[in-house]
Amino acid sequence: MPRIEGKLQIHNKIQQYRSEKSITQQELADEIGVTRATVVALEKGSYNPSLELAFRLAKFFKTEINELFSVKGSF
Amino acid sequence: MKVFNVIEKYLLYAFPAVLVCVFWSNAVPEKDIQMPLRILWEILAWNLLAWFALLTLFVISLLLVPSVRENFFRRIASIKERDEREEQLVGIVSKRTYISMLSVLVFLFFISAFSFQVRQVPDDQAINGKKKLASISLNLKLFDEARETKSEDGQTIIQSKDIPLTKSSLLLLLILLHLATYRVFFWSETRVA
Repeated sequence: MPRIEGKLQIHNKIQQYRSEKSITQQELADEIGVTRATVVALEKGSYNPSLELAFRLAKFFKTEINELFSVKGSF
Repeated sequence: MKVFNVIEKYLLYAFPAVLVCVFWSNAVPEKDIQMPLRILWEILAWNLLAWFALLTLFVISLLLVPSVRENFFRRIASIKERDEREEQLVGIVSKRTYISMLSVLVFLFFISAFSFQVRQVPDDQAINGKKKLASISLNLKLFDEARETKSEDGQTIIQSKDIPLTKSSLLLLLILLHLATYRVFFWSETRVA
């Protein structure tokens, strides 16, 4: 398996999209089936969601995954 | 399972009555208990019997029934897996707990199996003029020495008392069980059906 040096920094626009929709963290959490603490962690960038949760978020905000998430740094 | 939830609640709520029965039996000889207190005593004694029987059943089911032990120990250890982030956290914390427990067991095994002694010997036993001797020895016995117990009232037919293993062998057993169960659970989670 090729070794990947360093850690990729994944940024997201969840907070921005949530503000545009004018919903609370708890409401978003209920919609995507997670706890509020997870929404807080996602917005802070301290937790990277699974592909499944990322798709659920993108579907909820009616956008694409690559619009919601972006990678900083090089591979 | 619902029946085990009922047993769990009974064990918890009937525990004060068990304590009362134990303290009462130690404080007052049974033959001195007169009516009407005798009725209460009988109820408490039957409760103690039922409580102990159910406790035995519960402890065995904790060992043998995965759903019972998971349900019970999840609550005891406050394990919450409400979403994927919490599942990930539980995984990380479990790994740390597992490894730290293993290191504690290995350390305890080490101090239980090895003995270290520094002693001062008389002048005539001095070696090259040195009177202080240090010795290290390995004390690894698997089974505890049989303890003879004499029954005061009649001959004992069956008795369950303690585990007939030494501290070292018990710790070694726990270390090996820890390692083996990890491998078994890992294998069962990753095997291709």
